[in-house]
Amino acid sequence: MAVVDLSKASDADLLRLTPQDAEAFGVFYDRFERDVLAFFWRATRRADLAADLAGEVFAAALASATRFDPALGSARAWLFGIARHELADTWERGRVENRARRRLGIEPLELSDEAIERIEQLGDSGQAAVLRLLDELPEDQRLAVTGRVVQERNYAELARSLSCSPSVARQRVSRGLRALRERLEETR
Amino acid sequence: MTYLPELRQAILDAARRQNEDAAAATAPGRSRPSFSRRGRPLALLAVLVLAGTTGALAAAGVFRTGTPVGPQPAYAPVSNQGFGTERPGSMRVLALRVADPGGGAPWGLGVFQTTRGVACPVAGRVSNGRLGVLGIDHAFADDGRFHPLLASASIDVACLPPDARGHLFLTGEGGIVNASGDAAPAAAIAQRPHCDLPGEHDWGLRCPQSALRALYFGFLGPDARSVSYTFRGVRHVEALSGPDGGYLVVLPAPPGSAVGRNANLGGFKPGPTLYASYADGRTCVVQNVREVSGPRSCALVGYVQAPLQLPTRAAVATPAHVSYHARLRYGGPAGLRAPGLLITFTARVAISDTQSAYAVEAQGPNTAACRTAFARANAAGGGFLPLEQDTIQTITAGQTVSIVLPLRPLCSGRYTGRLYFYRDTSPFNALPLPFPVRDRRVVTVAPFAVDVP
Repeated sequence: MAVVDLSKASDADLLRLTPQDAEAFGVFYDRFERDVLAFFWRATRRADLAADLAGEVFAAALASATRFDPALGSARAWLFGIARHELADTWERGRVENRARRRLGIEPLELSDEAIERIEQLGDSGQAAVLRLLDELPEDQRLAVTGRVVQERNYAELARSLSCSPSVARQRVSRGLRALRERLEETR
Repeated sequence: MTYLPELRQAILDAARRQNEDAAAATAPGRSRPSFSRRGRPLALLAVLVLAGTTGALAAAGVFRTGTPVGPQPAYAPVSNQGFGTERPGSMRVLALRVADPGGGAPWGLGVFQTTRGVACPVAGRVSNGRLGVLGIDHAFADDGRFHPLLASASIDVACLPPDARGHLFLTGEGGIVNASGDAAPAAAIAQRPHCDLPGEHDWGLRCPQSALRALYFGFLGPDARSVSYTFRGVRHVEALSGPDGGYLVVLPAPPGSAVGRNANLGGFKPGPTLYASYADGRTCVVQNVREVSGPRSCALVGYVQAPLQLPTRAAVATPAHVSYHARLRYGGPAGLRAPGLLITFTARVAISDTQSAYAVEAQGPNTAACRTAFARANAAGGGFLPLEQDTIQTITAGQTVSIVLPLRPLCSGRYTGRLYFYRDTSPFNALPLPFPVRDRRVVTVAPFAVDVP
């Protein structure tokens, strides 16, 4: 008998199968939940915000799953594109959007203490020290490193958000990373 | 590990709603606009296109949703009794999809946890990531819809407590079922096909052979790697799914199934033997987990039995009040009225799952008349009730608990016995059974003696 295991399907196939089988999106969620939460936790260092943003990202991804085109890049890049967009939106508006969740009728999430702890642990694997040091960088370098490394923006995008040229943005990232390396070595 | 199970569930529910809305929006008959004479050819074309879309959606496994398949009303599960009810959000449909021999929506396997600590398997047809029953082959009057299986229809003896590491070991499930996906033994009979499955009472319409499937499913544990079987001369090796090694095999029912010679849902004899292969290279015949001898059996490779951790006698001891009543009701509100003993006590240790309980056991008067009464009842085909009863509900510390011990046959004289607490973490124990089970460890709560007139 033919057997299909969704857990072995490609990311793109899971998105393609979602309109026929909701569980395909469940498997897609399982694959990226950790990374998306970690991405937002690193960016916000608040478990509640990270969970809220992750909810909006997965809802937006679900709503547009049929529009995903593998010819334009990987499903992971597509999902993190949505994540970066949500994050930028949040910084700009000062609050997490809930458009996609509202549209899909998803109720606001109530976080348990255990869930908050689990999310916070995502940042405890050596990254916490780096994030603490990141706070100590000069403002221009901190924004540049955060934008490039944490939010995974390309230099053109980063330059636009920092209102500078791509080469200046590159320079700030490079200086910031060098400073971080030096401080990390000092702390060891 | 899921970090936010509530979010996962909410997203999954939204995905289902989205797909169902899409299916409903394209189904014919949703709205009935009136057409002008000139518009009719276009309208006809539109209907044909829509009908084609619906067929395509059905072929892809998305159906219009019908009434859900629930439990038989008299046996609806209760959250603090028996196996309990589904723990909200605990249902997981495995990623495994198995094609039906007749085509159409695939089969899938799921598992959920209950409020009383057992895990229950569910098998059925899959539409839109949910398990259910198709309205085909007489089921649901052949309405062609997908009827989601409610977890409450699948809470029955197939539910078992997980091992100490939280893994479910449950093998040998399945049987001859209808192709509709009707594999939930606790489902309301009125919702099931009105053709009769093999082994069931013959109401005059046997399910045709073409509408029958041999279903095998279960969970082999985390150390299992694959199941294999040979069907019609071809060897099949199927990978397992999920952290508990879920397997699901769907084959055409063995020849002759339609005439009722094969067993029904409880098991079936013809059909291929399934073999499980494990990470350490072992290969074993997949047997029913309830029929194997213990945790070292091949069907329980990797099973870790939880420690018993019994409370001390001092912790459970409490006075028990025992009285005789000529007409006591037992077996629920609709139960029998019979003479019996009523044992009442205040529990000092809480019971929260199916692996622990309070129980009473008693011995009848040691008189010739009583021995004769028991022998006669036994000769008449087991017409006596064992002098043992267990609680089957969640109990809080300090709660007043009553246990009814029916006396059938009834003897005059002194009954002696004891009230005890027990815990059983053996792989077989899901609910207290009305006969002694292995690995039960008991602590006496109170001895008693009572005279029956």
